[in-house]
Amino acid sequence: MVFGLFLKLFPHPWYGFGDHVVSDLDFLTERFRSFYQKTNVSEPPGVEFREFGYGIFGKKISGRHLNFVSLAEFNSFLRSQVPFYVSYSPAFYQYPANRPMAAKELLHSDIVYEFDADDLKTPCAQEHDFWECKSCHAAGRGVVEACSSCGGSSIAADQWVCENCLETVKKQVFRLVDVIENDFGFSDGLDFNFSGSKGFHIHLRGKSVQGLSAKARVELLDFVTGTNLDLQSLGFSESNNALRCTPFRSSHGWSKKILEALHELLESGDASRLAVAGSVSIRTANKVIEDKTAVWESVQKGLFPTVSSKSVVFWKNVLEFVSSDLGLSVDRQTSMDQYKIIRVPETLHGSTGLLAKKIIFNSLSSFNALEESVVFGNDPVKLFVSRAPKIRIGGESFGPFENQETELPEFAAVFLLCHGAATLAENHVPLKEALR
Amino acid sequence: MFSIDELRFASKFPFSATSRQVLKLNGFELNRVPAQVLKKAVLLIVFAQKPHKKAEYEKFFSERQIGSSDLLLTDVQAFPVAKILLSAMNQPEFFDRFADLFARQTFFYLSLESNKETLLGLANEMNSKAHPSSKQGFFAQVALTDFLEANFREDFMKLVNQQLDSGTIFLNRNDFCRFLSELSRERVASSLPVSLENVPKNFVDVSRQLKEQLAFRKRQEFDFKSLGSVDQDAFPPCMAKIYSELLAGQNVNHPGRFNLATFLVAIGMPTDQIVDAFKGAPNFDEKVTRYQVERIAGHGKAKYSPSSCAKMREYELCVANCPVTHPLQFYRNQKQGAKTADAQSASE
Ligand code: SF4
Ligand SMILES: [Zn+2]
Ligand SMILES: [Zn+2]
Repeated sequence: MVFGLFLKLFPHPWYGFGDHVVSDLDFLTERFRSFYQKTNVSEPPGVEFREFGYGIFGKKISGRHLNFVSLAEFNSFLRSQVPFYVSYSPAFYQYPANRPMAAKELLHSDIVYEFDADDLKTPCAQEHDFWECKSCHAAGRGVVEACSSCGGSSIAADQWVCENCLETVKKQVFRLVDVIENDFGFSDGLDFNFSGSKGFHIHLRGKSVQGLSAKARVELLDFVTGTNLDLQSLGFSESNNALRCTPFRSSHGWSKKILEALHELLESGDASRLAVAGSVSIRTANKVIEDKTAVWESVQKGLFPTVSSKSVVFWKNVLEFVSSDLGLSVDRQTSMDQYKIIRVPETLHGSTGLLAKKIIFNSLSSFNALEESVVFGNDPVKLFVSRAPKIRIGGESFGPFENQETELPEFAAVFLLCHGAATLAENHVPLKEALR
Repeated sequence: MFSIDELRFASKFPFSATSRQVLKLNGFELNRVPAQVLKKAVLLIVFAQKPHKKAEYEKFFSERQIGSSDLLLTDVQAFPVAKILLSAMNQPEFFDRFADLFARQTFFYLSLESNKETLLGLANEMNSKAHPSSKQGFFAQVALTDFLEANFREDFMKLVNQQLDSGTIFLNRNDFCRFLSELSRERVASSLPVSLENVPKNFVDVSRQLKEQLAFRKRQEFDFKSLGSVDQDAFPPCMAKIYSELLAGQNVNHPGRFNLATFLVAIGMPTDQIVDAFKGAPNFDEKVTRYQVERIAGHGKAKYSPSSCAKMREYELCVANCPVTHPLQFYRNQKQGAKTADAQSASE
């Protein structure tokens, strides 16, 4: 009954390649099916307590409130229904399939942090993304806030991901792990996976984390992102016209992070950056930099030295400047909305055809998602590509393409088809229309 | 039996384990609650109902310190009785006010407390662990997971503003008192409502009267329109999201539209402006929208009100975990500058 939707969407039997025309959707479904047929997904732990959702082409979640009594049942679902997306709840429920949400009876819950290249505004997006104005249909390359033609702000973005994007995301992951281990002291139950598209997921599945209240989760998230920082509460206080702080040796958490960042700024010797940070003249900034050793010695002991007539304001500006760069860009909603469901690791992502591959932390730094998450083969596939930037996937480069026919190895073809940027050459009905 | 010191402790911190012991060993029974206990319970609820000046709180708290053991026992017993009355009234915003009173009370007594053991011991009494600090320059240390059971509405309590190292929080004396105070707020608030099984009939009657009396007072005091012009920055995250999605021309589902409309009506946005907000929505029909908004506004007749946070969560419209139980409460707090809660700052 729940799967009725699938039947409606995939009413045709599989025709095979032969002489028959194969729709893009059938083609992809069959690729996905063959993957699930030879794979055994062993995620997530505690499968019987989780709520699942699935998505169809073009819609990440089209149904939810599913439940499986075992991994075996989950795998046979994957094989028979072949969803384009599969998500599960970080939460464990007594009755995962019940509705409304409250009737599921929450037992406890993992915490998931999600980083996505889109949130990091990587500069390479200017090269590989496209935009289109929803009002006047002007279009172009890169990322824009407003339409360059009519000035409208209703913009459709066609976003792509590259190795550089994913390396930038990784840096955030490493900083997060530092916070989780050294600040929070949660070292067990940490799992990592590629999201299958533009980022990474970090799962905290340890006992001490699972029992935390919703409020507690917000506090952890705010710590990670540096939200609600209050310099005074952190011990930076003004007295006798001077700014003081807890001595560096006894500083922890954010007060330590901020002091370290200040030290780094001083050590960089970058006077113009310091001038911007403190809203002072470059001359004043230069004086501070010249004196940096003495300045840092004093700060370490808890006193910000006088540098001008407005020292307190200067130092506060500098502290705010350095702290604003320290918060991590984790997706707030994923960690906060206790009902949000997220991609099951080791399943396929329907917008890329890549695997949401689990990663051992030690190999994260050398992990190349666009190579190691490729699961499809090399059989040539003829495509008509409407628009794609130059992409690097599976260790090879392809494109750029614009309204042209080309022949690509299956894994790259699947990637473009899933993105909605191409259609099988033999069949000129684009996927989106096939869905109507 | 109990020493007068123990009784005094129990009356200062009626949510403590000691206090529960006192009740148990004194054979406290609901159907034999003395009149003065019931009276004291009502007094607590009424006093808790609205914020007071600092001096008024101090007067209210310090009276307890000079009481005889009978008076102290009355205080201890009044606490569970007040919780039953409140639960029968079943109004979550009253729960928060009640918890606020005890958070203040806790802070008041702790800041007068000279005995270090009492301070550390109170954490234990609330099922949490605190130890003398192993690092120089701090008074106490608390495990992160214990700290996270407190209440975080105040900036000074936010985790991001703590001295946190490898899963341990280090606190100076004043901050430790504030932590215990916020922990007591959370413990009291989360213990409400209590079960109403076997509650004597006279309790139900008293609670009904109380509810009517307080509701009347509230109605007189509060009108959302009195908050002045509509201020988008004060919207709770859920409403802000729906609002901006609509303006951006995205499709918002029916419960989303309905709740936004009721919210906007409640905070006094003029009908025209609300209709405007819906203009960008796909399949917008001005006539229909205007009719619906006017229906919601009720014009004196059937009036709809926006859903509580719990309901919003069921509709999957809640996007945050605000320290409120109703989106309107969020708006009101923002508009009033959330001033009332931070009377107990470090400088006191
Ligand atoms: S907690 Fe309440 S006010 Fe805050 S987003 Fe959720 S529903 Fe809205
Ligand atoms: Zn335009
Ligand atoms: Zn990139």
